[in-house]
Amino acid sequence: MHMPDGFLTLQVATIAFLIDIPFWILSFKKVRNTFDAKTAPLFGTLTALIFAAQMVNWPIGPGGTTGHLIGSPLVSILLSPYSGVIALSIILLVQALVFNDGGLTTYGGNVLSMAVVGSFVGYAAYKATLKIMGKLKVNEKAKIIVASFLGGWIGITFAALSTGIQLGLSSSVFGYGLSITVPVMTISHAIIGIGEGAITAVAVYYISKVRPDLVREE
Amino acid sequence: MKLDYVMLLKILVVAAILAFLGSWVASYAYEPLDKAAEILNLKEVEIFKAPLSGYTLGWKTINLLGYELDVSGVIAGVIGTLIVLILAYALASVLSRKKS
Repeated sequence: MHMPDGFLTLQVATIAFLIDIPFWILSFKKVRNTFDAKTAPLFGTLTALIFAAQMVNWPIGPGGTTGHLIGSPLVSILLSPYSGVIALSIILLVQALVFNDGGLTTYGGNVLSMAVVGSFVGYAAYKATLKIMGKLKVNEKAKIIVASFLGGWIGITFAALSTGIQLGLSSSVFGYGLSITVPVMTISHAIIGIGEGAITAVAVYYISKVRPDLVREE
Repeated sequence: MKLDYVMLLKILVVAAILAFLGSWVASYAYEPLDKAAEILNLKEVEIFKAPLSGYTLGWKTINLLGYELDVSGVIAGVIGTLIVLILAYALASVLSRKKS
């Protein structure tokens, strides 16, 4: 999902970057109020884990294409969507500067999709599912697993939708318009998202067993 | 929130394994966006040369027990994981300083 340099027009890349700014400011303000000496190591290790996990690609069907975890829903569920924004912004910056994975001019666009949309939509889906399932007589662990799966799956699918919109609006350089980029990116990542949802569910379930204080059900 | 060193260590071990695995299979990374770019013959614009471009140091692979292993890719993956760990921890520490 990482857009390299040259895939977005200057206008789209600039607008995406400008949209990110208030989310960065809000996220830094929020984590400043919630982070403490005990949260910092967890945030650091989780961010490193997501970076490493993003290097593992899995096949998504015919044509030889692959997909990978984005991880922002996982960080959002365990810490907060604001932490997810900051974690993914760090990862995307290192990937662009050190590995040429994702561009510098497209950094704002990649942050908008994978950090902002992935974090907030994934977290909202997780919370909404917990709320809906709260009315059902279902095992608490099952609620967490289902909510985490949907948080991861919906988070990456909407992140891909955001990338599809940006690419479609950049058709003068990318070549395809919205009618192609949106369904292609969204459908392919809805398939990849099954893996994202499964990994998110397993990780959240495991952490809810060893550190239940990190996974709030309400 | 309690500080659980065992859990942090477990997360780091998983990250190291993923960095190893990810570097090993990185050559198979071919995403839908890459496929669209290939169909359109769209080349990415390289505005600068990153030090570990393509998640490799550029060394040749070695044959390990019948498997071609890109050692430099594994090292690049581990370096990246460490850079992210240090940056994220440092930033989180600075942000949490006033509460400590």
